[in-house]
Amino acid sequence: MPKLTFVVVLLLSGTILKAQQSSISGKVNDTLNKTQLHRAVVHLLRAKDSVLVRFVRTAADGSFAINNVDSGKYIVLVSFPSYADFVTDLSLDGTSAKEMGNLTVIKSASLLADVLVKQKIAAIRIKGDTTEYKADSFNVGPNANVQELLKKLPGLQVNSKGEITAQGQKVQKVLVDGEEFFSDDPAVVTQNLRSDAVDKVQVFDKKSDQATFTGIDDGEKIKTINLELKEDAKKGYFGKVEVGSDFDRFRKGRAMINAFKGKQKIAAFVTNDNSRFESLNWEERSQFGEDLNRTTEVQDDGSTWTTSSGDYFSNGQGFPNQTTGGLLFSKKWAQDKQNFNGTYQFNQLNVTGGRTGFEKTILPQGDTSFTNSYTTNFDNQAHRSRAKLVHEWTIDSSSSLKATINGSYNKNQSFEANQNNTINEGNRKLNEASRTLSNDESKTTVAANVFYRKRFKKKGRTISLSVDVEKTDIKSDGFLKANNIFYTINQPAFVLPTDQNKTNVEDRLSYKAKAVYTEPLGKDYFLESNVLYSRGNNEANRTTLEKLPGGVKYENRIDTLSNFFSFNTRNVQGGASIKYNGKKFQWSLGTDLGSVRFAQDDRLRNFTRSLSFTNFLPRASVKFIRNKQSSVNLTYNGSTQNPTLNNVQPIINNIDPLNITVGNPDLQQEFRHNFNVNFNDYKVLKNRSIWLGGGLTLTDNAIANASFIDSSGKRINKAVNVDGNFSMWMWSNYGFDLFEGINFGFTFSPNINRNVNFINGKRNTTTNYQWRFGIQTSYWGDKIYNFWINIEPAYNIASSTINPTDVKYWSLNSYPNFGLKFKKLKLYLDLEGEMRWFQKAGAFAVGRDVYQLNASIKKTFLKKEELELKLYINDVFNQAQGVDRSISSNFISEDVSQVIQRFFMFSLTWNFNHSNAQAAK
Amino acid sequence: MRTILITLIAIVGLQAKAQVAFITGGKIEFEKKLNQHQTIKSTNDPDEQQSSWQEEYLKQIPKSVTDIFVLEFNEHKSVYKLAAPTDQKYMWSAKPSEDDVLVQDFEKKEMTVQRDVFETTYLIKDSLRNLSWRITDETREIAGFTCRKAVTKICDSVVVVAFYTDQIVVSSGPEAMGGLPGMILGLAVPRLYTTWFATKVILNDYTDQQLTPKQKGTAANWKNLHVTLNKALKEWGKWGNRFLWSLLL
Repeated sequence: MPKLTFVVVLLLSGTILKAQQSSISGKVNDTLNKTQLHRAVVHLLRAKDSVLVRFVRTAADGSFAINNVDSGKYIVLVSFPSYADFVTDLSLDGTSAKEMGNLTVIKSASLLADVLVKQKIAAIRIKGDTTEYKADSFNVGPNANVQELLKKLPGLQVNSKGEITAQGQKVQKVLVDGEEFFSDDPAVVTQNLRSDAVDKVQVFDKKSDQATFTGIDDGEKIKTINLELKEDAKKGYFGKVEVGSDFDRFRKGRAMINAFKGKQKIAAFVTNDNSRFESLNWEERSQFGEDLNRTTEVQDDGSTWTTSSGDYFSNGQGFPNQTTGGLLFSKKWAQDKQNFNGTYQFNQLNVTGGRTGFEKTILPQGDTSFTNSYTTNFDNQAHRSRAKLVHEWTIDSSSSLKATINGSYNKNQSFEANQNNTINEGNRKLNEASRTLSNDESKTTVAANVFYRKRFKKKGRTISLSVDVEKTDIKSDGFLKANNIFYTINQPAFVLPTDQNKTNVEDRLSYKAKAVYTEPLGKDYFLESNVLYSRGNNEANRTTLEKLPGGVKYENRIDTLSNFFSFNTRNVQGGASIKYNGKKFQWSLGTDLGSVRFAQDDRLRNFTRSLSFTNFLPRASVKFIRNKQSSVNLTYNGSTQNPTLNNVQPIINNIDPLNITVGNPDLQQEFRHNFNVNFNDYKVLKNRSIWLGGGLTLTDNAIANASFIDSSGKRINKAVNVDGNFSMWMWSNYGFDLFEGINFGFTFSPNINRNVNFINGKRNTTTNYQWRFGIQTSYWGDKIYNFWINIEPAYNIASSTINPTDVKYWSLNSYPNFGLKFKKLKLYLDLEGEMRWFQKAGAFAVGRDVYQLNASIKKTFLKKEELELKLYINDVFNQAQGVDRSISSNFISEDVSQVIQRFFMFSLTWNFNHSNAQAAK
Repeated sequence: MRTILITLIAIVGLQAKAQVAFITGGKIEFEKKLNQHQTIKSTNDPDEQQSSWQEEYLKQIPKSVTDIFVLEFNEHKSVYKLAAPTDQKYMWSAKPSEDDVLVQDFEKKEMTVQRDVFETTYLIKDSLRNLSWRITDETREIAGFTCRKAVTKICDSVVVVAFYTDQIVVSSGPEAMGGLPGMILGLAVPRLYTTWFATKVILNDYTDQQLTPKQKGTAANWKNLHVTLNKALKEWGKWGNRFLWSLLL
């Protein structure tokens, strides 16, 4: 026996070693059954904390020896399967070998019979064998821990070591909500367990896990305490109040609160601000009101993809004055199986402002080009009220039902005054116009959705059903007053005055039903199929009235500018795709096929027309997974795009009499091929990342613009089908740590677009190239400073077949940010810049560079920095302007709008926070 | 499916004089269960707790995910790895690696761990862990074996609870755990909201050759991996701690 020899060798060597160390030896046997126990474990535990110091298994004759043991107090624990533990104290003085002699163990069965005394305790039995205490009825103070609570309960004792005795028996297990191990780690316990978090304390005899699992009662029971927690013990509120002003023109006021109690939450906010558009930032929206413009999706690797879209109320040009408010209520009950969420939000936004700009139209060679210059002033008042109710019901672990109702009411009152004139290349004035346009529109939308999902027992088999109904009513009433003067050789030739009342009444009703079914085909293959049916009915009644000569009322209907359409769509679609989910390689292939029918009924002219299209939507994707942090993804999808009502409907819209759009009833559907590629490689340990994305869209039969421009500068636009359009984009970034904590990155993101249109019957191909580069560097750590700087130069080339000279220019954007924090002084300094620079090119003779710098200095007060005093300087150099330049197709345009420039704002913010969780700290 | 195979052994070595069958070789299936919701709730910053974003995230991932791991062993060696990948919806970084293999060698008293740590596959060579196990008198039955509870700490403060049985004579267990007088059949790390429990013990004789899987990776030991992780996860706050603990387990 090699093992035995080993033990003997150890035994011999033990005697040679230093005197401070002892050796222990002995023999384990079962005297009752007269057997020597082989392979019994002899544990040597440190007496003070029962930490395992050494262990040994007995030899075939039951003997054991442990050598080189430091002197001290020990516990010897001998265990053998189905035998009771043998435990004895052992004190080693480090002098000699300790012979323990025969250690006798006995079978558990005989032991139990001898010592087990049946306890009989009178206790309030509430549920069968369980004694239950309601925690709240024992007053232990607000921040007490669970131990203090247990001490108060009748029948329970807690000793100084924290051991609990219940009804005379030692409690062996403390469960938290049935979870067993939370109580083992003090850090987890303090996080989860305060006495006011406990709803009920249950004391019972737990069957062994085996018995619980098999359902066979083996009679073994252990005294157990279960701490049943309150549904959610969190209770409290937090929020902030902020006021700010420059004591002159600008001011803001914001108040928001989120109060929660268990699984019930109420949040509300109200703001008023005339210094900027967006009133709540991302984080505030997430905490105080549901962000109705946001969706969050969890990807396969667990990362999240959040998209948030802006709307009319979140940004814009001009001088805003916005009031917003919101109310949110959410509640979960029945073990979170029922989940209700209700939101109401309102926005009132008044914006005034002005814009000036020009638009140069280049005509085919031989013809001239025009430049139209304009000045516009506007005053818009928009109101929106939105409500959303969502109820989710988790029917069981495999199925759920979700019902959503959305309603919104919008009212827009807009007024615009516009002056413009057109000159040709020889600086000759062609026309001049002034117009005012006012409109009063209201829009009501109600939408409902019901979504049901079920997972079947067979893994990968699922079904989901979704039904949507949406109804929208639009009413608008407005006035167009314009005076257009057309010139010949700088002299007014004729004058076209317009004074009209325009009304529009539109009702839309749509239904949609969709079913998706997935079925596993073998191990890694899945089939996904779907069917969709949708209907839409749209009625639009547009009326244009003018005054009769000498009249005061708008009563004469202009037939060419009035119409009454009903427009119906019906779409039936279905498809299937096969997916392969391999370890390193995944692919999918499939298509949807559909039939869509548009029926258009011109009620005034009694003319009905219907169009039918077959939709074809093929798709394919391939994914190579290199490793956890790196993959390559290629996708293709093709789609048919159908002409819109505006493209087809032959109504003449005369808001801008120099720019008229006519319909084209012969328009065909277009087909788009989209190719996308994605590559990412993220190294967490090195903090190095490579991201690459690119796309190519080819469009067959693209719906494009054909314009006819006469010598007076008047343009008539019509949608036509063209071939040869494509667009290509790429975005790539390489980021790495330059120094520890300081990240550095390069980006390269070129864009190429080719668009075909027609000008005065001539085909014109415009190609735009943009070569955009970027470097970024940032530090976002705990040091005194942090910064984020981004510099993006771009080289732009625009060429067009009707314009022999290409337009080439450089532009540069930069967004530097710099912050300093003096934690001890509680002082924070932030600088945030924006620089936009354009090379002076032929088309843009005037430099429109923007150097904007915003600065803020903030001082906080109180222990938790709840109070904040801040001075903010917007646009320190008084340079801000809204510039929008574009060179596209045969247009070159520049639009400069008024924006808020330099102002100072002092603000005071109070952040408040109170919760029972915090109080316990 | 959880099935417990209670193994009754008739003949294991005639030298055992008592009527108890000791196990010296075989295969154990462990069910590793991670409570994702609890992890997110306790690791996210307090102001994220009440945000609608967290709510939406929790709605989209299951409360807990379960993976099956296998431990194959004889008296000289044990090999621990994932049984088969599953397609559950894991929270970020929680998906176990299919390539990780952990070998403990009781003869040489060392372990060789191939472990995917973010982008890098490490081959950690180190001596067997020397943990201070506090032995308790609490026992429970796991997969038909009576197991004794022992408690230790890793990374200075993270409590690890183990249940071992002396009936299996090999001192091994899930992850890089071991050093107890028997096999660990149950393991819990409360702070990671994770438990490992054996569901099946199948007797088998493995040769040392069968317990010598191919392993590769960047050479490292526990100490320098700890240094690397500390540096990389410094700015990650509570999530950084979580990654650190689970990668050093």
